[in-house]
Amino acid sequence: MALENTVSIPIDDLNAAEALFISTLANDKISIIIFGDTEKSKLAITLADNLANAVTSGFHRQVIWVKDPSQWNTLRTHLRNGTLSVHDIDPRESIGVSITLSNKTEYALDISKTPDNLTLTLVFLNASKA
Amino acid sequence: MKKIYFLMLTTFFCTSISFAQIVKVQEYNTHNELINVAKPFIIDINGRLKLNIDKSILLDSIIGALDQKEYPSEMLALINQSLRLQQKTLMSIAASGSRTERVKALDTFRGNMTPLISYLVAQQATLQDSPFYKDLAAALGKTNEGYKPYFQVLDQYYGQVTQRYSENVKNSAVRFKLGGWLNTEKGPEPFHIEGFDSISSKGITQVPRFATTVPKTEVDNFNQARTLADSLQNNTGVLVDLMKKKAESTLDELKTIESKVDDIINNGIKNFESKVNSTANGIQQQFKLPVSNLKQSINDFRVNLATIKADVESISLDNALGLAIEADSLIKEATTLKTEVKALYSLVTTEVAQAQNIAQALKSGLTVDITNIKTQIDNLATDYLNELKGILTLLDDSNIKALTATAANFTSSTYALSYHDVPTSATLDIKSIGQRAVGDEIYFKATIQRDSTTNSFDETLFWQKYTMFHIGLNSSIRASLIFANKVNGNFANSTNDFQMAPSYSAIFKIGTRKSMFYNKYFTPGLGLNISTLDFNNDNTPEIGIGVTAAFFKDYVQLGYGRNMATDDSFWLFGLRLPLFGWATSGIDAAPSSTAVNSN
Repeated sequence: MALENTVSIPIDDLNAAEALFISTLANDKISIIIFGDTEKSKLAITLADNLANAVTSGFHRQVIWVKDPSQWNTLRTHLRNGTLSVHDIDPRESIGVSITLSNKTEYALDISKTPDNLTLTLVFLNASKA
Repeated sequence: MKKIYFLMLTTFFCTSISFAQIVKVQEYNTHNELINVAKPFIIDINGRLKLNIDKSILLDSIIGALDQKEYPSEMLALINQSLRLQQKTLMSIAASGSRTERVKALDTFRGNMTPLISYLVAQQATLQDSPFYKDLAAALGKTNEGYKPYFQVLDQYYGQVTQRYSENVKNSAVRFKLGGWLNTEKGPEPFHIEGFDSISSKGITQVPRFATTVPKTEVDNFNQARTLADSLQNNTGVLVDLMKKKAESTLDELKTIESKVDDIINNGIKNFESKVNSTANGIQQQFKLPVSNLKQSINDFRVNLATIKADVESISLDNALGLAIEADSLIKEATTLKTEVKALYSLVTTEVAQAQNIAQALKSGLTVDITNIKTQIDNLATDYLNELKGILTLLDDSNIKALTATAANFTSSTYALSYHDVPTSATLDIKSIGQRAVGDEIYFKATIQRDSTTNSFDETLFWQKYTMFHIGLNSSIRASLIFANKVNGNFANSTNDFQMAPSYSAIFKIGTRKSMFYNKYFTPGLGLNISTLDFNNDNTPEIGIGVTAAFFKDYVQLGYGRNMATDDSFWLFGLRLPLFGWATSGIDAAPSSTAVNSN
């Protein structure tokens, strides 16, 4: 699938993954992170990538795909606590998480939900703040 | 019919109010322009109001009252809210400018979009197979078209649903009532609102903006000031001691009341709110306004108490007289605030009692919560009332009961209107509501009623109090007792620093819609003071003329004047009469606040 707004974090090199994650966060974009490589994750990526075409108030959106959830412990150190504490986010229990313009964690989409345009719009909406 | 709803929805686009009320009160200003009446809800005592009925909210309320519902009321309310905010939401997406401005617009976008989508996502398990949910999700996916398809789906479904409901509404027994009451010292009196009742008009009654003659009450006060000046001329210590004693007892009362009110706020209200917050969003929305009003009223009450207490606590020999009088006046105002709290409590309990019916469609599992909340606030308000009753000896129980009863029950002259018969607006000339005084309050209440033996209820949709003052320049004439301090030399045949004398003050003020404290308590003004002095102690009055600044309902005046007979200048400290029980006329019987019937 052609993903125009998605940055896929490499799974075989943690240092490279971390470097790409940091540079992606520096984009001043409204971001959401999608965890894992499951069917739900793939569905979420497809939908989120499309929703990321929308530009709101001049801010672009992006999707960060962390296929390997085991990288989360390293990657999360570059995020700040928002409404959600970074440490409270468990990739095994969430499809994705909202990351604000200032890289704060705001909202996690529970794994029990079915990814669709409404659920992922909600993830983007929660990321839409400074 | 659909066109009507379309127009309603179009109207929604033009408003940015998240939680609009069914009755929107506007006032004509001096330029005959309409302005919104907002907190602190001050209106001109001779003004003209326009009462606008938001029929879309009325329709929602009536639909909510009907049992036949295709969608949960909560969802419809959120769709309605989203549609109202559509224009603002779409504008926020396209915002340009600095990063700060864009972040602000982004916040607006998020705030407007999130409530409905959060609800839909929360209800995904039950809604995701519905055509509405699917269409909405598909519309969001059309990112090349922005969010217009999303709103189009909302518009389309809301229009269809409300159109289907309208037939039910048309044939339903649900009726709308709107009433208004003037709360005076005599108690609440309903007044006529064109199109909503057949109450007889009370004629036009103008409350003079400028005092042109000295009212008889002030002449009496002047004579009392003369008596006081004569009797206390050589014994000012008696006067000050009396004031201090009065202030001490007032302070004790205030401290006790303050601790009780703090207890209500810190325990009762918090407990109540935590109960409400544990219920579903729809129920929370139902109670949001009445609970907020109750909290605000109690908080206002506490703020006023603190102000009074601070005034009394800072009392000294220099200001004992003025502050003690002020405190005495303000504690009476506090009893009025207590009356409001009682009335609001009645409203909330009514809301709670009715909520069980309102929440028919949502009732599974929630009825118990609502009953618990009702019991809790019931106990809270009952305790509050009982505690204060023992402390505020000035409390007039009969007045509270009359107010509560009247506020809760419309007269038989109030029309019970079907949805289509409800006027969209009514103009109310405040001059037609009857005899009133500066600082008096009026109330509006709107309800929907359902006449059914199986499921009857009376839901209050709107209840708001407005306080009447002169807005802009106004004047009054006050009789006052002045303490004159000669600038140079002493008084003839006397060692006193001050000479007491009766006087009149013509005081000019500027009323504002912005501050209750300013209008009700601080009331600064500037004016002219004319006194009858006797600097040479020859028992022949001399005329003194000065300028004076007045504060705290004119109870305290400071000024500078000249004895025209002896050519002596003097400072003056004045006190408005009556002083406690020394004068028999009412404290609030001010010349500018006394209505004169022009009919």
